Amino acid sequence: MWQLIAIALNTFREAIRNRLFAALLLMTVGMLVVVAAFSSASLHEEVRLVKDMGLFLTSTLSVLIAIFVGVNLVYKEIDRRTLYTVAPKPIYRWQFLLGKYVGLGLTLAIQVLFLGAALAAVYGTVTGAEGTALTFVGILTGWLVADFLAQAIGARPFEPGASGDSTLLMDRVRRLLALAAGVGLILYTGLVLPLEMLQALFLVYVEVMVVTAVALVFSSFSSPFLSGFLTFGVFVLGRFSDRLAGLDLSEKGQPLDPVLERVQTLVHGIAQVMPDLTLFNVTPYVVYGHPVTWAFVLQSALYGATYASLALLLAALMFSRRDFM
Amino acid sequence: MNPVLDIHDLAKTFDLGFLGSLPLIGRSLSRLQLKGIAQRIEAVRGVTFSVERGEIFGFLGPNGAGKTTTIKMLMGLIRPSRGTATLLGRPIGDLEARARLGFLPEHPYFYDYLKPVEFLEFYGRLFRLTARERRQRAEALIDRVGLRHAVNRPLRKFSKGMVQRIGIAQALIGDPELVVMDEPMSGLDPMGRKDVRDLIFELKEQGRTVFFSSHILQDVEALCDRVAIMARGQVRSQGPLHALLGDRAERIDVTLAALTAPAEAALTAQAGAPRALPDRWIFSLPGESDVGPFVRAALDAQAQLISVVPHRRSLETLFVEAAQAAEAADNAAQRGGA
Repeated sequence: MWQLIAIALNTFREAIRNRLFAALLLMTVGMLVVVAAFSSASLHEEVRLVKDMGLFLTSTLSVLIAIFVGVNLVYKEIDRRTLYTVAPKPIYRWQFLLGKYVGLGLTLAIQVLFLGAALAAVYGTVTGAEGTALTFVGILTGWLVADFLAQAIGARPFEPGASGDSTLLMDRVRRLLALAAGVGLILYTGLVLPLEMLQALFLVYVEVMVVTAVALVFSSFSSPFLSGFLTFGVFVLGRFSDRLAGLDLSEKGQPLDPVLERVQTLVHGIAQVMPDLTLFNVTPYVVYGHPVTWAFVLQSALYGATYASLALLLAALMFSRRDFM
Repeated sequence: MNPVLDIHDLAKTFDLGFLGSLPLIGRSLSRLQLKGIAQRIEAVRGVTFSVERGEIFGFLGPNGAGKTTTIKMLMGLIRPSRGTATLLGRPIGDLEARARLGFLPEHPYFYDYLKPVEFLEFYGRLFRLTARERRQRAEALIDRVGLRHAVNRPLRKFSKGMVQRIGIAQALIGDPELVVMDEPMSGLDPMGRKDVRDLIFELKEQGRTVFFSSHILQDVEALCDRVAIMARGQVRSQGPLHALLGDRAERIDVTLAALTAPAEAALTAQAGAPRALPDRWIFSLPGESDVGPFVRAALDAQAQLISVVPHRRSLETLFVEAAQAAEAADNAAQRGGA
């Protein structure tokens, strides 16, 4: 378990040090601009549009990043041979794989939180809540300024011997600042957005974790390009799985052509294997203000957890038998 | 004796190519040797040797001999096609054995966004060390491998030699009984090589076992108690260095000056024709017992004795002989097969 946590924390740290947050901030600002621009152009439909487009962008951006990072997650470790020093340590390969997944899960949670908070800022503004956007900008700016100061102090040259401890202290301060900013964003999002939008954001996160698990399955035996392509395929099919499962090629009163019948059976079979991602999309309910029941949210989350667990089991089986040449 | 590392008939065949790597059918297809599509490569062909506790064991061989593949099998990175191996009395992949093992791969590449202490603490976590142990060992190892000056730098800013040093530190973070290193001197300057040599001796003095592969025969000759020479996937020669190289000189070169023509003729009759330099004559004698009478005769003939240099069989000779023998055996086998 400790080894798994070590891998997860290291994966998370890698994402942060690779300027993940800079990319996230950029994406967040981009989303704010797009949603705000569209909502101002709509006639008295601002709130509906913010909900619709905001959730769509949050979900799509998160899934695309999950696919991109997910297919590279293990491949990078093999390609750069960092795995060669980790695998011979007292750790099972499945622990390594699961650790990478948990670490990415943590990263993606922060991503969804950022996008959700940005969505809250736009939503608050269009619904007329005063100072909403200002609070959001304040939290982010405050954190960035404080982090910059901590970094500047930590980067100062110290006497050899004492430098390690000073840096460590600054790292702790920076971690606390990030935690405080995270808590601030959670509270902010929770207070501004209506319940059904929070439920929708939670389900977006579950969907992202399912897609990441699928990406890990493919990346455990194929190249990032092929894995990305296959995972994206699963994502698209998963989004339409209800239509695929209900596909009926027969015309009224006519017996089905044998070839078409086989096609229909195949499509129904594919729908059975694909993750039913429609369970994680509650945008229509949110847009029209219908409540989403907790029972539905929990059932969907349980389904997502089960599907992701099976996918991870498959990925771990393949990964444990793989040669690292 | 209870060997720390015991390898018996270890072999690895790779199924390569687009179709060769496919599960189940790949192996059958690769038997057909369809180059680029499905092909079988026998990288290691039944390797057997053992390493005793507390010794420094050198694993030698030319490029492509199968050294790294063998080491990767021992480290659990590659699954053997055949054979068995035990590390510290336990089978490959056993977690308890891994907890007592340190490994430095060839051309190591690490998480370059980490700073040295963070890097070593990460590996310390994998050994389930407490926070205090992690910190203490990381600091001590940073001093030991001479990286104190770079403690605030992320690894991406390290030179090749510094990466090798931090790699050695990570191999030692778990306080291992057995240290396995794949080409630890590779890419190091003379100072760096000396540091690694000193460190390997230090590990032996602490009672640890060191198993390392290398191309640098000088280092192997200076360090190792025993060696195994591998070529074309098989161990061709193994044993204690003194036994492989022999204690006796293979040839003794006697260099003389101020040699008259009759004396040269007399000595040539005794030892064969010398190599003649402008004012020097070098006679090569086949055995140590010939040296005394030859030198006496030379001095009696008023020649000036410059030097007597015995030549022992070198590790390089042994290495080249093993590689050539392997090549000849392979060629013969191929001709036999054809």
